[in-house]
Amino acid sequence: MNANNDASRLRRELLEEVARSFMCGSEEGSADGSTKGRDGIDRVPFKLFPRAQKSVRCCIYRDRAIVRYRLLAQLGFAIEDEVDESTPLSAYAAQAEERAKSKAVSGPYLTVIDEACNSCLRARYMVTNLCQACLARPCMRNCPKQAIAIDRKATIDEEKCVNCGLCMQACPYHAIVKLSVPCEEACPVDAIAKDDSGKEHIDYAKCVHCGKCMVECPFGAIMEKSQMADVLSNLASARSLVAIYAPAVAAQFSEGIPKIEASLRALGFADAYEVAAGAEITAQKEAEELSLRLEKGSGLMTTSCCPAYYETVRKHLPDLAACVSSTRSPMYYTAKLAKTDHPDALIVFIGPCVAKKKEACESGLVDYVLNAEELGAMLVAAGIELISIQGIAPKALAGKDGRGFPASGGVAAAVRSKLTSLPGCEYGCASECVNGLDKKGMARLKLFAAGKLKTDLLEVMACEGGCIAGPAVLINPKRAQAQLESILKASHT
Amino acid sequence: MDKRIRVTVCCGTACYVLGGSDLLDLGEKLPPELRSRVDVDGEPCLGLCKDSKAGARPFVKIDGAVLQGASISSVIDAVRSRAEILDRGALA
Repeated sequence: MNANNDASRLRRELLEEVARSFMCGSEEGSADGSTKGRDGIDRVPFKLFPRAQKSVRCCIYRDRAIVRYRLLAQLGFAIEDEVDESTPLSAYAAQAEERAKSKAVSGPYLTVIDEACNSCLRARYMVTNLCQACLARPCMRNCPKQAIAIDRKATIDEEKCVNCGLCMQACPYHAIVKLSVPCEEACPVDAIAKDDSGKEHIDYAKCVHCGKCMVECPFGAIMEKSQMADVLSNLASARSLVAIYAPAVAAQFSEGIPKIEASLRALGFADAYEVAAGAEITAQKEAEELSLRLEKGSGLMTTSCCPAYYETVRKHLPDLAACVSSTRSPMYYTAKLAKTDHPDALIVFIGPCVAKKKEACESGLVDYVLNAEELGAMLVAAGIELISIQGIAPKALAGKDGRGFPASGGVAAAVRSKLTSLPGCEYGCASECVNGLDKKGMARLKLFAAGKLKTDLLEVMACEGGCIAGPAVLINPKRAQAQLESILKASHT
Repeated sequence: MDKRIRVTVCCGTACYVLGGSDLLDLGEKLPPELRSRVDVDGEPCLGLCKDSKAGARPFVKIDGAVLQGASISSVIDAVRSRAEILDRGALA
């Protein structure tokens, strides 16, 4: 789906409201801005859907109720955990502020708003009234399961149908349509399914937090459990926070890295690091690991930096586990750099990714994760204009290899580039990419796992196009790719 | 000669994050017959996001007239009608 649609728009506008409510009410000049903000958040559903407003769903009351649940997720609560429907948002905001003091964040990181879920019709093929009950009957003839009967109009026997879609392809009148459930279709590991009432639920034992269901749901029913309130509460406190931002986030803005560095400091971060710096280390270590593997002839090595891929291997493709590089991710090495310079600071990773939240939580190094939409909302709420802010040069730690990580093929290119400068590896290696963990990508990955496809280095990214096409980005990947290229042009090798 | 049309895209952060990023390609996306007579430029922040009555972001100005909730297609439509008005004026 286009990154700019009405569902993402609503999500971003609401994030701005949350950010505004957590930034001490400077406009009001109030000494106790946070309280003022907390009261403010209760009014957001009414502000967005006032009585005169045309409703999106059945009525504005339902629209308001759903906005309330969206805000709940954005304050860092799982919808499933709600115990008392009458608890005001301001009470949750107060809880979030309290939670921020203990640094407690936990999964699962995706939550379903059942009130917003459309209970889409079960995925299947359906014959429409366009059916002419023709003489040729290609639908019937092509069906491998004899599931189609024709009596004035074709009908599909659901018991026999295996959803192969051959009837739809065969019909000369385009009379057969596919009913889809976008979230189920997007999930690469069948982790989201309907309950008896038709509402979707995530099976967290299977979920790899790729975020595809969240992106593809046209009703915006799946939300990320945000940590923005925690970050904002800490920024307002005496604590020191350091931002480490992914190269995919740098590519979200058209103004270049120095302006991003400056805007992070304007938000209150004590210091900022490019995660591309850690990516240089990851690429170097993966190249060294690969050279050893090549020497020993131990076969395929896959990259390890995509946390959704890593989780997919862990939960669904254990055969591949031995092939995954043991090198840690760019986030990990960057957090280590930041922690060395700022031992007492809270480390905040900013990326385009949902799965990074889990990796961060398990790393013991990264305290919070923000996504690109949350960063955008914070900038807007703070009134920071990237175009007019005075840029700050980044630390000279990252070059083209590291900054090139977030586009498909970028990690493999960086590892190969580092590999050729290792002794005995001048000729490089063979490499392939699995660009996106959709059904096709999963099938290809299984072929590699079974040894039916072979290569030396396999780059795997859960998002098609790479991290710049992640689930929580601000702009369309094509634009981000162009902006990434201009960043790379200005980088040293 | 055709009168030129000036399109000003708001490049403020608030517009950018709500879809304004798509408008940065406007120059390339204009149909050829319009491209030759349209000047596209960007301005830091048109200030419209602070006015609750101005409508939805992102904002674009076409010869000074505000277009709210702008997308590539709505800007092209507005430029086209502006061109028609200017051409009619030139004929009269």
